[in-house]
Amino acid sequence: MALFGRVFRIVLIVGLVLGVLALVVYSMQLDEIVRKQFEGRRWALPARVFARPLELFNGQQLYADHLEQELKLLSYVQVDKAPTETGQYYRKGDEFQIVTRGFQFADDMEPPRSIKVSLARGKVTSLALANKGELPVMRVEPVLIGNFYPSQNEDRVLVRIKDVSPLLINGLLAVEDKKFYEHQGVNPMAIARAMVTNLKAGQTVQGGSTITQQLVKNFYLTNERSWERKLKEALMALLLELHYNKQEILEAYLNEIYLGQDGARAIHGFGLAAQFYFNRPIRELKSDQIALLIGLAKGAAFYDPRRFPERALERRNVVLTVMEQEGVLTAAEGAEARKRPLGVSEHRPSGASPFPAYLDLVRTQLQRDYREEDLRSEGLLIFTSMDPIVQLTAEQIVIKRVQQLERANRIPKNKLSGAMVISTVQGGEVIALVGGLDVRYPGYNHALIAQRQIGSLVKPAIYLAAFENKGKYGSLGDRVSDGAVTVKIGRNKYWQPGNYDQRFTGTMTVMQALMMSRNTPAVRVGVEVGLDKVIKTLGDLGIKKEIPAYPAILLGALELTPFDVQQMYQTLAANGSYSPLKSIRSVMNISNGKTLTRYPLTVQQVARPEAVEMLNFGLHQVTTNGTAKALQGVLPSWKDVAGKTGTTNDKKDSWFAGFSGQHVMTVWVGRDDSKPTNMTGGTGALKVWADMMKVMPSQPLKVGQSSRLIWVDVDAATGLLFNPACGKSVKMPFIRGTQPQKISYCAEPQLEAPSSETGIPAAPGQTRPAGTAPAQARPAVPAPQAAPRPAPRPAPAAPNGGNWVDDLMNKPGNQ
Amino acid sequence: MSIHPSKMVLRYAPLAVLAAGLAGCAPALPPEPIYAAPPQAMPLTPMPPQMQQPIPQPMPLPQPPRQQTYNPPPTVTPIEPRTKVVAEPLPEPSAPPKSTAPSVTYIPEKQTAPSAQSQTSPAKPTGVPFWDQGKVQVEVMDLPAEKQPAPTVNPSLPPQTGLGTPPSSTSTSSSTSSSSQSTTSTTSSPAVAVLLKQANNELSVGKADRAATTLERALRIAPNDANLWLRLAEVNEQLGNKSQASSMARKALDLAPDDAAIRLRAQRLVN
Repeated sequence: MALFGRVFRIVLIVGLVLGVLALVVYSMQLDEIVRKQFEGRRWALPARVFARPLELFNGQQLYADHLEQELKLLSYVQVDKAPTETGQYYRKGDEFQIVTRGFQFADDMEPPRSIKVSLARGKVTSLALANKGELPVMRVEPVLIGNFYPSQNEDRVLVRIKDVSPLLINGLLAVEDKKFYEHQGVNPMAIARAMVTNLKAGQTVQGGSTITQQLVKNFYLTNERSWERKLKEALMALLLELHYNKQEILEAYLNEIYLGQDGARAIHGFGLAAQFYFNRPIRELKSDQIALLIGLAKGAAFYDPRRFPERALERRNVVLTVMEQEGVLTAAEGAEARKRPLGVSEHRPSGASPFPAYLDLVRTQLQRDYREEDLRSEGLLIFTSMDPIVQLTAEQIVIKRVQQLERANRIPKNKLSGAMVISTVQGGEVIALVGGLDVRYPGYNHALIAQRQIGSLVKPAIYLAAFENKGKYGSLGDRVSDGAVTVKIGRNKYWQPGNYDQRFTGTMTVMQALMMSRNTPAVRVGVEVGLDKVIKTLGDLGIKKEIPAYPAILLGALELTPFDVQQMYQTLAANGSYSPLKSIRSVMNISNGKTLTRYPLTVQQVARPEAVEMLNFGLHQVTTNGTAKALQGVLPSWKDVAGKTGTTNDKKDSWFAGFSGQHVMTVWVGRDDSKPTNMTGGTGALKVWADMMKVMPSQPLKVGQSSRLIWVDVDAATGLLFNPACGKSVKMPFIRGTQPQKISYCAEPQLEAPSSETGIPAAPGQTRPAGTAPAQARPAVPAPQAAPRPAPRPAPAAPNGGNWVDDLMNKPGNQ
Repeated sequence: MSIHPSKMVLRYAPLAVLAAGLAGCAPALPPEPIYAAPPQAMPLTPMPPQMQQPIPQPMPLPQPPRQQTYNPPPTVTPIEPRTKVVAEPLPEPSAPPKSTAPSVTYIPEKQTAPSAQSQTSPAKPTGVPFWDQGKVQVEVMDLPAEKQPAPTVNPSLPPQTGLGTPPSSTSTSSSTSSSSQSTTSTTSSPAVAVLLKQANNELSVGKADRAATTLERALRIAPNDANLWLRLAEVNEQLGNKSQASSMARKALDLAPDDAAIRLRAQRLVN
């Protein structure tokens, strides 16, 4: 008996010890789980993509309406007296008073400010702090333009406990866990009370969970309801309280709690809920709005204020009453808050970006440096150069004008598409990108993906190559034959391109050839300079892809995306200074506020600036007297621009690419099924371009003002010095040292018949007026017979039809 | 679960006993290998009483080292250093050359400012003389200009763009660009001036990368400001980016070909 007693006691003790040990081990395992998740990166945070912050300074180009639009995008509230809280503004005519929210840029805090801004005629005329303090320059916080979500589609905006109003904390505790600061993670009293209540009611009506338990449930456990889970939850809650202080737990709760659903996107935490329901940061919420969010913690789906406004209102008022009882609100405040409507913003801010096309660009550029997974979960802040005002304007204009063109050209509905890219001249920052007409939906991004033949858009590269090489066609004033041309492209194979209008107009200056977009002179010049040089120039200008060395590329039988074209014209606009187009300025890590990657401004001079400037004068002439002279009727007279039209075979693609002094813009219009549109560059894309350039604030192009250029009055037809006795004079820029030295001769110039289809060698020398034949005192070309020459052989009567491009596309391939 | 982990139990036994002991009397300190060091260090030294009796303590102070996820961003509130430096160092620009490596850059900086001002100074005070000033410059410029080109040449005016365009001055001739550019560079609104100063300060405290960011911001406001380009070139040089330094210096030269001070500073970087 005694023995049995002893054995029993030993067994009991051993059993007890083992049991305790097992419990300890189990809790240590749990402990590990608890700590691991809490210590580590607690949440997968989506990456946020921001537009450029709007700079405000005296003299800034900005229209009052655009400023207001920007504020609306930031969901500022208009008030009718001087604003007092962040996120409010007051407008009277062109005068604004704004209280900005401020923004934490990487290492550069833009504080919240109360400011006064006056504008006049599209400019900021004064900027000052509301208290009269000086403010030379500031930034409004950037507009959020998109997110890259974690794979499980959770979304949250992290808040720190110190940023949250005490009203929210106290209200939350009053409603959910009155003894939060006293219990150890579990509140047995509350559980007992809840059990009693529930037993009485016969169903679960009250929960005894503490905030800690709720956090544990949300954080670590599934939603199953069982005793085992309850115990686990309680144990973990205790462990959590053991390791972390109340503030940390509360903060985690504020960010973790599930507060709503937007399609597949789960709304977690009060930070995002404030955005989701009220469209504003959590700091700006009023007591009634806070009460609603607190109420949602109990059941976000059941009390969804958008679907069940009455339930939600009732719940909110219950919360308000509890807050009042617990002394969080005074009776007066409570009564006042209860009277207010729900005030939930009507349009639910969608998680989807309104600018999917631009985001495509951002994503492509990010993927060079970041793994997709990190993009979606590390909470990166991505600062782009997008200008939301320009972007929105561009979208409207493209849609409106392309649809109009569609009707005007009797194209079946929704067949015509368009794309537009806009960037800044210096620095090459893309500020707007339209990838198609369905601007709000992700889809085929024509601006980035659609490779189309570029037609005459290639010509500036040809002439630039010529100017750079200082050869026979080294300046705008040189003469070139517009006669038929035959290029030998192989044994017994010849290419005989024609002009767009199927006519040959004799000799002309290079400037006229460029202005009127003549084909045969471009081919002549291109072959004279050498295909390799033209291709190299294209590469220098930023076309980073393999370009086949077929003569046909001289007429744009070269497939590029609008974005590629944009790069090329970007370099021209920046006077031959190449900056890769970029959309991202920097990427910042939200957790430590440090810049992860900066995408710095880079420049690289790829062509002589004076050569590009001279070319740009020619491109400017295109817009005043050439194929794009229609612009003169649209743009204000001071807004000088330069550009080039492009049309491809059968009018399948209509292009216009050009620039002002500040912006570069490319427009493509065409059909996805590559059927003819019946539009040239000048009748299609140019119209879209003109509409946009007309309304976009932009500095005019400074045409040929460099001191490296010298302006000369030349004879319009011959490119020689103007002779006042005859002819027509035009002013033309020349690179110093290349200006013509001879005076135009007044005898009727012997215009050569276009029958000189002897190919390129059919030299311009012959076409000069007799007296001036040897003229051009340039280091010039020795003899016309230098370059690779086609045989002057099979003189074609006239190029056949418009399908020559097709032919030539096939021919060179055979070699 | 009561039976199975006998092996585990053995392995964890010592730890477990310790843990049990600790758990019995007070929270804290589960002896885990990984985190052992920091948590121990903390609760042991500063606040054992609190840790033992956490119940009554209503508002535990946040323990800084734990808040990994929320590390407040650079608490170096940037504004303060900025304003501080701004306040004093107006004289400083000439001094710092000693401190930071090639901040010789400051000296020319000083030189440009006055020279640029002297160019535009007539324009600024009077207000009207926008074109007057242009003309003055035109003459100045044309003298050297006309020496060089062939005598026959008849440098004429470029087509006059736009009527009363604000930026493209009505003045003409080859030198217009330089004049208008120098105007833009010195008009350099207070905004640009402030940013330039900020960049200089950031540079003087060794934050070249940040200075570059600031200069880029300024360049967005005044893209044709040769001085800014040059400064960015110098910052790039400090960052070890020689090719960009050279390209940008060239760009500065390109924008203000007739500015002696800029030429002086840029020449060094171009090569």
